[in-house]
Amino acid sequence: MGLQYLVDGLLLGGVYALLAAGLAMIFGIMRVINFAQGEFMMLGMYAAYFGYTVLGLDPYLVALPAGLMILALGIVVATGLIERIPRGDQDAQLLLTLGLSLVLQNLAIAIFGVTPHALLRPYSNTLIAVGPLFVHESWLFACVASLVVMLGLYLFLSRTWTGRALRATADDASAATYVGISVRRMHSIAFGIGVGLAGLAGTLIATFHAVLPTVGQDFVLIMFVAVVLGGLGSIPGAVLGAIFVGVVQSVSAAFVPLQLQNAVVFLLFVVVLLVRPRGLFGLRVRV
Amino acid sequence: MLLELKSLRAGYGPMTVLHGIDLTVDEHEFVAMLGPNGAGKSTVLRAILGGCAIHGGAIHWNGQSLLGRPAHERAPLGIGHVPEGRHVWPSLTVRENLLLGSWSLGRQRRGDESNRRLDYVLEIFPLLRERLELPAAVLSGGEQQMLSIGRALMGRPRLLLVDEPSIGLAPIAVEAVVDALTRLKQSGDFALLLVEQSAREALELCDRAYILNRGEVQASGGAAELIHSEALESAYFGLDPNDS
Repeated sequence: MGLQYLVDGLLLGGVYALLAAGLAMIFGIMRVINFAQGEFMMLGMYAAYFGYTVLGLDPYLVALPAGLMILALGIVVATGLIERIPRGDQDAQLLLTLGLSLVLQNLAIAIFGVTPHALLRPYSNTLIAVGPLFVHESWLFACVASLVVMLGLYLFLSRTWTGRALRATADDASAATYVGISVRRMHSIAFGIGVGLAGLAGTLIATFHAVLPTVGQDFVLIMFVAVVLGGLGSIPGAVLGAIFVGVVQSVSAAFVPLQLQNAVVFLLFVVVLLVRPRGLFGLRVRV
Repeated sequence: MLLELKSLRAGYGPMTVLHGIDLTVDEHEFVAMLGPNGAGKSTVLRAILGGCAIHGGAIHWNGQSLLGRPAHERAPLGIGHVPEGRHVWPSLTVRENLLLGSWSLGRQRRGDESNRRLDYVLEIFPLLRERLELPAAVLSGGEQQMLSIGRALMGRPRLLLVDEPSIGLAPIAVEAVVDALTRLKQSGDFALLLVEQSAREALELCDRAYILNRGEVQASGGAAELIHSEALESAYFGLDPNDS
């Protein structure tokens, strides 16, 4: 019984990891807390929903193209809005992303309406029996897809020139300027990849979670908790933090009513911050 | 003339730190900038690099103005920088630090040319060869300084701006850095503009020097002449040569 909750938590945490990795990437490189991260995830969910209802495409086929489109949108938003704010004015940048979140949310309400939609696929409610355990097929698929994307992200950051330049910018932006890297461009790319990851995660989450304009709000706090637990700005830390949050959420369902799941997460969050202000995995490894 | 500053006035925000600096660096020439703390030496470098406010005057690179160009366009022009405090990327490996130094060579040339430059830099700093796969954070201060110089060399600079390379280093590391710069001078690949607290070492390395004080050039000339001059002493000990 306990093991069942743990497996559920690991699978969900594996999907949250994608959201948290995106947020950590943006913070690690731009030093901007992106309050609109949940709304980019929401866009991904609608992309999956309409991809299926209008075009008849499975969400797993929509995932990559939708993620890339949201990545492009992110680059436009970062270049056209965020990077126009003088560097160092972090309050203004934070307020901008908060405003962006409200605008995207209300645009979605105006265009898509407030009615929640469900995207039902054969695997949406299927349980696979593994020994004494039951595994949600949609959670399993989403978790595997999330791991594949994160492996791709790791290879991109460690093997490509742009990936190395992004990590260099996170480490020391002025030194990046000295070798000819445009920090502005790296910021835009980081924001694009960060929200693209959230959008891609959204297409996966849409297979087991209701699609509605305000759905981002349910997830954004969980993302923040994961990123802070992981030590701000560290991608591996954020991934571990997200898995931790997933497990806590799931296991707590065994003891408290479902509505209080997140209360347990936040309670634990406060305790961790009191004991270890740098986060659980704040090892000073960045990006 | 490779680099030419003409009555440059520059500073931070509305505050002016440099009150009309005239300075030149010719192709393959090693030039030192000396002077006490707060003389404006680092500000001169920042002005060249596009990192402070220009209030007047001109900065010419190969006869073209550098003013108004974004900071990251310096490296592609052939201006390399070894910043004070080294500023290596701590979480990147030594190899990644060096390779990124050739970022400004552009997409097409990066592949082969980067590896050629890497071999060249490792010949100058053989110590780095054994450290290639380690994160730069674990290097000693002297090794980080070599990495920082090596990274700047990766970009095939025509002018290297070096800011306080010996600050905070053990004497033996200072010696190694000076040795490396001396060897690089003999290879005659590039020009150098050096900011250094330790005047004697800088003057032994360089052909010419400028002595700055309170944002102005107090004296300039050949290194051999300046090494015994009163201007040098007065700049460091606060005596005004006009008083005596």
